[in-house]
Amino acid sequence: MKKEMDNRDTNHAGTDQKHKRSQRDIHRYLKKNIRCHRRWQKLFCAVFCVGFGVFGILGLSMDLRPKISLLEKRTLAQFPEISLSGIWTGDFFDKLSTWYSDTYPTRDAMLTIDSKIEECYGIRKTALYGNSSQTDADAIPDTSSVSIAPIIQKPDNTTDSAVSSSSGTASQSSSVPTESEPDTSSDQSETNSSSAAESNQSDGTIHDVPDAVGQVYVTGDRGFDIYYFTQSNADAYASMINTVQSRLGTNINVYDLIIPTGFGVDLSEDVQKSLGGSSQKDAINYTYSRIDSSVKKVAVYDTLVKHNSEYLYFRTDHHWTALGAYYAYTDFCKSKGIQAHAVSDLTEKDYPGFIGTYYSLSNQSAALGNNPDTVQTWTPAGTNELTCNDQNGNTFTYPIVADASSYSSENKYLAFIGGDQPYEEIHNPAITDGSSCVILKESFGNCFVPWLVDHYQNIYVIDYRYYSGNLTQFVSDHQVSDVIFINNTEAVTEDRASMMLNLFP
Amino acid sequence: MTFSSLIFIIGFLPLFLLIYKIFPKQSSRNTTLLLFSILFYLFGGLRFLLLLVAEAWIGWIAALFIRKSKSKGTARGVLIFSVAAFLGVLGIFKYTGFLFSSLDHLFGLQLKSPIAALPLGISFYTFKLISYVADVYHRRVKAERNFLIFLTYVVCFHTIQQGPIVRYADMSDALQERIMDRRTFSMGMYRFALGLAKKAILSDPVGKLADQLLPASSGIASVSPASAVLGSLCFTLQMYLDFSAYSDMAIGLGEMIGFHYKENFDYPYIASSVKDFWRRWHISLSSFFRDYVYIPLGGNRRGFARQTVNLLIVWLLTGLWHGADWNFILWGLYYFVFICLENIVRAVRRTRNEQSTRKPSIFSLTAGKALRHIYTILVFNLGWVIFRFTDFGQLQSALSLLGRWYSGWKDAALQLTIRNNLFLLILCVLVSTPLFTNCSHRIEIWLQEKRISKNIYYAVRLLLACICFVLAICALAGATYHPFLYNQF
Repeated sequence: MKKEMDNRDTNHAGTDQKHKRSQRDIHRYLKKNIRCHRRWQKLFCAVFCVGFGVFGILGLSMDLRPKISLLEKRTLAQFPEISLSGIWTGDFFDKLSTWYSDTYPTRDAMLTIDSKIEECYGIRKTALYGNSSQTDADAIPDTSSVSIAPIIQKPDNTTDSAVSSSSGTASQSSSVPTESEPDTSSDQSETNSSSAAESNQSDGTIHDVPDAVGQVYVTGDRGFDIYYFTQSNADAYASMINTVQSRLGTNINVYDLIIPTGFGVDLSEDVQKSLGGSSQKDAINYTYSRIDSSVKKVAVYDTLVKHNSEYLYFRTDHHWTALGAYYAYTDFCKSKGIQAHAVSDLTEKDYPGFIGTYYSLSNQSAALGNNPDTVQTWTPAGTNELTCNDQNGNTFTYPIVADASSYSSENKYLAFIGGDQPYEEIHNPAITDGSSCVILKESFGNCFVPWLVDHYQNIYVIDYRYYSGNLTQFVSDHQVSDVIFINNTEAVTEDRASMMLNLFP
Repeated sequence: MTFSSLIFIIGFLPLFLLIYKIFPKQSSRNTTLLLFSILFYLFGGLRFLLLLVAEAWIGWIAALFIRKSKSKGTARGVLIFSVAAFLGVLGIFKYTGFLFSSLDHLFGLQLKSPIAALPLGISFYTFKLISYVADVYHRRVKAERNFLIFLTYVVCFHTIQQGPIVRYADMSDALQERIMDRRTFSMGMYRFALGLAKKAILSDPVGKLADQLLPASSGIASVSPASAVLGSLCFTLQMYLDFSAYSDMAIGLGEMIGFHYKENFDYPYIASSVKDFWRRWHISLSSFFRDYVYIPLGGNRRGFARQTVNLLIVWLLTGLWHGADWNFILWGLYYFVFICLENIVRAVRRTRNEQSTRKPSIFSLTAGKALRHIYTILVFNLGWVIFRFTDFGQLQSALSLLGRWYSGWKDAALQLTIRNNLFLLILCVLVSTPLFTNCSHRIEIWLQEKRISKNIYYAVRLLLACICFVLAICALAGATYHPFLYNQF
């Protein structure tokens, strides 16, 4: 009994010792922990103090604040005026807060990091950017039961034209809302900066009417703009063409080219349909079917699809390439009954490193940014000089195909006819038969024009978004025989039709 | 100024902390806090700052009167007068437009409301003031003698804009004496950084998705049912992440300098009943209504009929507080119905349990629990849809779309949108649960049990705070100005 008790005593002594030891261990660990925690707290405070110091001082440096954003292509907010009423209502402080974040130094770098963050939100190999609630497309009517679109009577014109901007020199802010296509309207209108000389252009001023881009669908290394058909747009356009032909008279040849976008040519029909887009082939056919037979309609869709393994459309921009324009040009020549030149007849010059509109619209998708396009250009043989009247009324000469090697990456498309100018003239000294044409175009027409230079003595290029004048008179004054309309499918809208119609009173 | 703007995060806040650190005396610290709070509120307009100071002065004087008065009658009179004044000002600014438009609808009176703008945080500070005078009247707290200290309580920039609705008792001690050291700073800053990231990186993008999929405009007529369902989920997530992020930032800012505000959210989306949901959502508001409206009216101690009436009043007021429009009142009534139903079910269950002797099986218990959670999720999700649409026509469209919830999921554009935002949505859902907090807590305990040094643990926390901060700043620079959803309160 005593032995057991002795054993129990030693056991207790043993557990007591163990107990004391483990207590000491715990004590030591906790003390170490507290020290460790304190050290990290010190580091935490130091890091944040330094961070705040750097960011705060950066924020105070007025000199480092940018005035324009190259990435967003806009002028940034300005320091607000200090006014008593602004302080009373808080308006001044709102603007101050906006100014502070808008012009914070290194903001463009922050935007880039932000884009990278957004890329991590999901699986974005194939991605859709933009408003996905705009999925309303009209059904395309069967062309067999369709009538010619009505000609608009002259007295009605004045009321019709009042709607859209009649002046050719449209200012950027006011024309943006009317220009967006109703079926693909979204807040993200692409900015296609378009002045002639690089030096004239300040990246902040957006002075052209942006071609509205709806949803940008990115797959692989390419972007596409989903096309939605709206019947009223097609009808208005067809009506306009018929009216112009009737006003010009039957001895003037009116050519109409409707160019499909990459979405309709490069993507398979099922992908187009699964994204809710409309068939551009059917849309173009329908529009053509409503145009009078006296108008020469140039069907380019099939040719482009036949060659769609070639570089017809840019990956990072909503425009087509000069090669795509070439195939449309061959169709035009067939329609006119002339021999098209071969591509090799013109001088090729390539300008790589073009990153177009889809890049910023797709939130700077790396898939696009890492795969820039090359702007292939072909310079006409007869002449490389045009005369242009710009939006400010200045007249100067400029190359038809300019050297874009010094242009910034988002502006390389401006190599063609100096971008979007209201009025340009090209006179080819190598041709003396007096042939003249008027081309009414939006930005898709830019790389189409050089292909025509070697076929006409005089080419008059009108960007109907900016030009104002009386083209009916012009056509008769200058003995023009051909009037060519060239628009991409997204530009076939009521607003644009109105703009074009206003030029033919 | 709002917390999620660059001028606050890297302009106002560092400057405040710097000045605060330079002048360490308690009295100068209070002055610094007061001056910076006034500057913060000044950003909302000088006119509203003056209004706030005037109301604070009324509250301060009223409390002193109540404290000094000998008769209960005068004290009660002063209480009623001051509460009426506060509510009157709130009513004028917030509800005039609503009143006029309703009169217009009913009687065709073409009245135009003269009130153009809402003072910043008026709903929050009005309730703060009411709680103060009521607490002084009920002797729960001593009236503050120093006007400046009291003003600091009212205008404190941590909680002025969107709560939590802090009671005077929770701040008075800290106003007299508080500590700011490395520990409080690092803990507060950690909380602030995580809250900021929750807002900028999670809440804002999911809000953009919600606007796309469930537009609160005429566009609602042209979305598919699946898009509406997904949009409602996105909006549900946005509401929690946005509001709780603000509370996190407010509590973090307070913690940084030694204030300990009570939690305002306790993971409401894991609630098991609507009653539980409201115990976890905007706790400072529901406890305000409980302590200053429900209980004074008798609560549940005056019989079932009276309890129902009390609940109705409280829920109508809750709905009305959230917005000056009929859909908010409908929203309040919606929850009233569910709370009453749950009360009835609970009472019935209790009597049934007392009578039955059978023990429920584990299976039925877990199934029951799961069903209860799903039921709660459906209720609050639908509640947020009602909350979202002030236009009844749009609300009708939205509800009819939700009724056909099973159609539209095959749409390629919708599936692409889901794929493009998959990780964002998953992360938002996880952050709405206590998963991360629990894991981090478990890891800490495990490290302690194994006596492993916590260096890595603290390093990860520091790294996380820095990353959250930097990414949030970049996200804020990139996004267009996104004021908090509850900002119009």
